[in-house]
Amino acid sequence: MEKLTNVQAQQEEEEEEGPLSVTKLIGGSITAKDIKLLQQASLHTVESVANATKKQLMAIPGLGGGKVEQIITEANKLVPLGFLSARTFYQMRADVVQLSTGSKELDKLLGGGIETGSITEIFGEFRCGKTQLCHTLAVTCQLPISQKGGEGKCMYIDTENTFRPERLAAIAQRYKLNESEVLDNVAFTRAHNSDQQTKLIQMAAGMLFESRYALLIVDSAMALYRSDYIGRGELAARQNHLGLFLRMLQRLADEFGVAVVITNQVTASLDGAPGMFDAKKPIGGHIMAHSSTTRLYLRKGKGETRICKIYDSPCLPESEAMFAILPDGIGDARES
Amino acid sequence: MRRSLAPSQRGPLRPESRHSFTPPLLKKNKRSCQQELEREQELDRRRLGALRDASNTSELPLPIRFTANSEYELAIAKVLARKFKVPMDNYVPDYGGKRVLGVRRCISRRPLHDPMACNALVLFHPPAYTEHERMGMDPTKVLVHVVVDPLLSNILRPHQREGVRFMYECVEGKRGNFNGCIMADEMGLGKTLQCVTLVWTLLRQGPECKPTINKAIVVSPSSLVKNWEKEFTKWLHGRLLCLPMEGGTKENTIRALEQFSMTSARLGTPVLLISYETFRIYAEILCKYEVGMVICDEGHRLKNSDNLTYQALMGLKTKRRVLLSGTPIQNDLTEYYSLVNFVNPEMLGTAAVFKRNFESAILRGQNTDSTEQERQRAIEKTQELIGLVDQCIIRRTNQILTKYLPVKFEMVICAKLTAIQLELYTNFLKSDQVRRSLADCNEKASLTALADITTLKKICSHPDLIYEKLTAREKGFENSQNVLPSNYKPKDLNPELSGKFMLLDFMLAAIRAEGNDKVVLISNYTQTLDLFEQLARKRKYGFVRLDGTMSIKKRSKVVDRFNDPESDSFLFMLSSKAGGCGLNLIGANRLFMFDPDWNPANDEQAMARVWRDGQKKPCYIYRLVASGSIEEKILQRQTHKKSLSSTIIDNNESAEKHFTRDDLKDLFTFDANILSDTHDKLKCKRCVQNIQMKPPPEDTDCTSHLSQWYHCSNNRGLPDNILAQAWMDCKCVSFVFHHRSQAQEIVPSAEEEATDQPEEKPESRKRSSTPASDDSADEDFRGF
Repeated sequence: MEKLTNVQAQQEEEEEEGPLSVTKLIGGSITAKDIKLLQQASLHTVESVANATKKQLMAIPGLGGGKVEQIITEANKLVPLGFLSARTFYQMRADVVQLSTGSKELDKLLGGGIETGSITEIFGEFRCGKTQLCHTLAVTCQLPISQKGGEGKCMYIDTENTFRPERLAAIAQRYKLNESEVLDNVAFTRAHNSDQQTKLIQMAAGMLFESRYALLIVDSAMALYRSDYIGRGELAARQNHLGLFLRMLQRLADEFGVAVVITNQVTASLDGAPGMFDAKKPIGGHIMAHSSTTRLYLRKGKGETRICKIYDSPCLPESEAMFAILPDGIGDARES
Repeated sequence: MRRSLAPSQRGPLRPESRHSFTPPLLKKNKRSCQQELEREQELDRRRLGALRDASNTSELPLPIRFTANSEYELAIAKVLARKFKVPMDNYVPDYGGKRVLGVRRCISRRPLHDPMACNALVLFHPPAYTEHERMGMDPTKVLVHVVVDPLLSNILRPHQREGVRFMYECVEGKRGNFNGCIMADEMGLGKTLQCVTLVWTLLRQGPECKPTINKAIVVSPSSLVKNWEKEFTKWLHGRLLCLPMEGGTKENTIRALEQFSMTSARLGTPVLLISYETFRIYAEILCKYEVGMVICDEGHRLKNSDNLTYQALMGLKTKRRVLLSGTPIQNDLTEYYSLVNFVNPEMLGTAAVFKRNFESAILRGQNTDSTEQERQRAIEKTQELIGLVDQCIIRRTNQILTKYLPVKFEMVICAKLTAIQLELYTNFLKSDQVRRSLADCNEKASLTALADITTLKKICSHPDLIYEKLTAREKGFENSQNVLPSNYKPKDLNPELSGKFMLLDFMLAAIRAEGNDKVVLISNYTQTLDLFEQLARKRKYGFVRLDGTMSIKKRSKVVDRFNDPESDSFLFMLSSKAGGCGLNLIGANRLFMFDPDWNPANDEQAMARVWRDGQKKPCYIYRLVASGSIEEKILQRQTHKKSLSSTIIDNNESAEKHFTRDDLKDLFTFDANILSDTHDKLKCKRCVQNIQMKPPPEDTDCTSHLSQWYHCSNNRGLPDNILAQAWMDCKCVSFVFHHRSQAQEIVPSAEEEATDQPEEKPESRKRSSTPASDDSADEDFRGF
């Protein structure tokens, strides 16, 4: 009996701490029907409603101006807008769950691992380990939190046709996990054009709400944009579209606390001094640069080793770490 | 938000099991709406029922984004909406359910681990809130339990749990107005594991439901830096990353240290492992910012408060200081003062105050020529000091381990010098060189006296060691040119020339013949190790050797090879100076200390290599000394130092009074016919004509003073028949002291009591002595 109440209490708390369901808005003149409309517009949490602009809410068919006002007031009651002291925020951040990358050195560089609740961008040339890192993360995110995982599923959006479930199986073995369950826990999808990519992210909001996800991977975020929008003439359109896409990712990271990992390609920097050793730049321009919280630059090292450099981060110092691509995922470089 | 799918397709498909659980405390006015919603959902579900396949989909929520109009779509949806399960077999979720990811508001506070779980080690109990109080309280002010990670609490032994609790209470200032402590457990009790537990707990938890500290520094001798990292990884399964500082260029080190030191937020590597030397060099960087805690391993390095390392560590901005040392007192009380002063700078006052208040009085009482009054005062002062220091020091002796370890026999064997050694020895003593250095007592002379002592020790070990001096006709050997036999070859070891070597040779042969026991040979001198090597080659024994010249990396390899039961190494030769600390030689169960060291701690460290965690066989420790020679005097001095240590640390009041200063000056006297100088000095009451009539008291063991050991001047009653055999064969043993480790059944059950009643002050720490026996024991020694 005691155990039962314990479980109840826990569930209660989980509800309090996890994303708040939009159904909590029900009351007064807001009816279940209105909520359904919100959910159809892929607004599943109170946070998402509170953070949506009025314009967005007005655009939902079936919701009138008065309703929208009410919904906004109710949502703001549950998710109050206001300041909090940096100390409080510091404490809240102090135990942000981080996902292990599989390599100790890389974890050390990242201060523990890939941070949940923010966007991490990984860029580099081909064969520098971007996709391999994504594959390893897709497994480690399922580990218990005490073992540096996130205890949640992984959503994998592939645009380059590089996703290989066999790799996941090999990595699962390394962590002594049940292979088929690991694969079950990865929701995989392919996007064939940039519109699809955005659409999938919209769908993701619903999925993230239904079940616990710890990680959202978009491998590679820019590849489709690079070919869907060609030339200077379409640049503005591309960046607008990209901006919206990244904004949605940020929203998911904020609302559900998932770690968002996107990979990016590089371009040879033409304006730099020619022949410079390392003149690669991530593509996507400023929009990309400003959206991702942490940017990691990978480059090839000797043999199976790769070098990761922190390119941009709000808190990590600029330094490097070496890791290796091993048969069972990302690991530490073996001492020679 | 834009809609991705046509509403017509999604409208009716909104079954939602997530809301089927209504928290009982949900606001009342929302309750009715909730029910309304549920009713509606129920309708939805029924409508959907026709679409779904009949199996167990009824409790599965169907994702809204799917147009579930085909069976295939349904199947996919089913898989995708499956609740997340950690893909591990038999996975037991952590206490408190899944944690929320990302930065989220955290409303309720709760301990990280279940305080009610079986085997849980709770370090902090919040006040017991009543339900009413809890309701009224600000939820962000509730204190929570601090519970050691079950990963660790499940492997901690009772005395280790007690130790962790003690350290936690000290550093958190729960035991008084101080934050430091000395963990002075003897070797092999798991000091490292206890510290790992403490660090891990403080880094993760606190009564305020946030980490108590955000970084810690572990300072250790350079050879142990790697070992610490290994231990952290081993016990925590890699959940905590360390920053070991070893090797690397200067720039890299500085950068890493600066980064470590400056970051005040969470760190990827919150534990810095650094050697004393490196710390001293980069102290400036590390002392700039605050650190949560510092741990000093092998803390007796800090016995001298004047040295730079000590000063540098004192400058560290931290209040939590933990000092680890298996042998806290080595030489005198000033050193002890340094240690306590390091962890709790305000406890004992300045050095001068301490000297005036305690040290002089205690030392006066320790001398055997002290008056009754002085002694009384010394006892009082000792009590006062103990009372003060006891608050912050925890010491358990190896006796606790007797529960887990096989029995240990310790023997002090007095071996007679051979005729040749005798002649060399007496000639050297009679020489002008020695006489001169004894005559004048200025400082220069004492330096030469030290050299003379070394020479004498070498003669005791083997004449080979002084062969070069002999041929060079150095001072003191003028009269000894013809002592060596005519067939003497310097490169070819002849064990017959030395009593101790002869005994060793016989015993090794007997051990080798008897079974598959392995043996550790320890000497202070690498030259003696050379002789061991020659002996091993001669007798074709497999051996490994470890001395100061060996690199750290290689050492662990050598040790692993030796401990492997399959390997053919029979002997492990160890220079006690090189690798006393930290080595683990449990592959062997017999150990020879070939010569005694001035510092009893060194010898103890060396002896603890074998009798430690993991040992399965009974252990035999043989300590060889040459009868009547300087080695016996060294042994006597050792016992004096040890009793000093046990008076303070072990609070062992019955520790006997020992040799006066005059006694210590007779280092250079020698009596060839004596069986054991030490035994004579003890004026043992239990013996008649060197034959023991009365056994030592029941409650004594090999940590007791020598006077409480078994003695024998013949080979009867020895616990080890290898020695008894060798006694008969080589005829050079004159006297043996022996004793065993505490028998298992006598071990007090204080540990169990402590775990049963966690609030109770640990008893085992103060092994209260029986005052009744004190007086009689003191009488014995008043004579000299």
